[in-house]
Amino acid sequence: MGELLVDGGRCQGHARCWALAPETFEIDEEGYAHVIPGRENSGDEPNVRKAIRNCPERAILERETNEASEKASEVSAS
Amino acid sequence: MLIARSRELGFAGEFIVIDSDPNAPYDRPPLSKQFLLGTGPVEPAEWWPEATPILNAKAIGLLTDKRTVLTDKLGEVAADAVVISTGAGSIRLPNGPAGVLTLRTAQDALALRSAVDAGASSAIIIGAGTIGAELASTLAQRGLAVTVVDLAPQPMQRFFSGHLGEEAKAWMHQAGVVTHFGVAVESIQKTDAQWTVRVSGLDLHADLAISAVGARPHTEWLTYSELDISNGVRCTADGKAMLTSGGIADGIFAIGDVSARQAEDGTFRRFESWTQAQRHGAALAEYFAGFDSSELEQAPYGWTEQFGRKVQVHGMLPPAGELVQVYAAEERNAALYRIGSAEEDVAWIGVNAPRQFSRASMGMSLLS
Repeated sequence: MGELLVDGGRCQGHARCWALAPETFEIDEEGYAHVIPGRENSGDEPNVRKAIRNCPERAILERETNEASEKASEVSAS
Repeated sequence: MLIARSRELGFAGEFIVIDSDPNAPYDRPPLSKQFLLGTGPVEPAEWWPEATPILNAKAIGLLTDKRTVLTDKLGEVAADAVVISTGAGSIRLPNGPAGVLTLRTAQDALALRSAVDAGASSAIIIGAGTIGAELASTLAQRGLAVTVVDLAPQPMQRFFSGHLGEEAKAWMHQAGVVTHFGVAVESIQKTDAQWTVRVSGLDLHADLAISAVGARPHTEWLTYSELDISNGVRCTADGKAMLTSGGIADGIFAIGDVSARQAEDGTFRRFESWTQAQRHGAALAEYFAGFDSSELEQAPYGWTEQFGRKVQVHGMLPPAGELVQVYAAEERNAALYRIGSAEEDVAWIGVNAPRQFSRASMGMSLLS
């Protein structure tokens, strides 16, 4: 089970993850989601599993730690 | 989703997946939108469990009591359980001539994109459901002159349960799409390089004719299975397939668009919905693993993206319910509508308002 990450390239702003697991995901005004800092390791929680399953864009990823931080910095830089 | 969720729950058994679509696995929702606007290939399915190969063959029959699928290329395939997930395919227009395009599979989308890339400058879309409306949006965005015709009085009649008709028409008109609602298609003919579609005595002409009149469940291969396939595979609420005799077919299940599930009122209902298909798969995995599943208790969720609008629907929209606009932000074409007043029957439609929509569908206040 790796670190949780919302792929900014895939997320289309459905905000389903926030509706299902607001303790782990936060969204901006357009609905685009990110993982709340400090909650990257909550991937085992039932609400988070449900959020991952219900994401229409399959944008919630679980990555190994190194890859996740690289990807996150890529996303924030773009 | 069935396989992914089963693995998550520790199931170590074998899945044999049979699909005749050479492009499988892929997601369909982008085909009418991003794919037609782009130049790349059909997006590969990163989510597909790598260790599970897909066998390219067509299922042509089911020996129900032996839980054995007959295929065209692989002979008989037997298993402890058979999950029918053959989805639905485009309805063909009666007497429609060859060359009318449609959109369901990756191959359909590729054919359509090739036709546009080859210089088509106009299109007539027959059917204004969500797929027809999304196609109208995408093709107008690509610069084609688009005409939409439908027997229904408004766009997305079923998706909106008859609501928001004037609004959805206005989105089309603002993008330059010409619409004819409440009209019947009388003939479709190809003359020289152009199509002529006659609706209610009016001849419409375009380079492309596209049929988007809906989908029908893929059950023809089950004709001799003794399963009840009167409208999709008739199932219990949790997906156990039913026989024409009324009993349950042991070890046979159906998920997704092909399944017609028993609702609380006793009727059988098919959902053509990405979200519902995912939930069917996850719930079945949980059933196989011996868990009580709450997947199917979630309210239906549907969405469409078109004409610069992200439209979301939560719950079952009552056709007769009163629609009340509870939020609007005109500068970004945003609105939130509530339908129904009894607490448990409230349904919501959001347009470019994901935050307000999500809060509302969670039963929270709209402030913040």
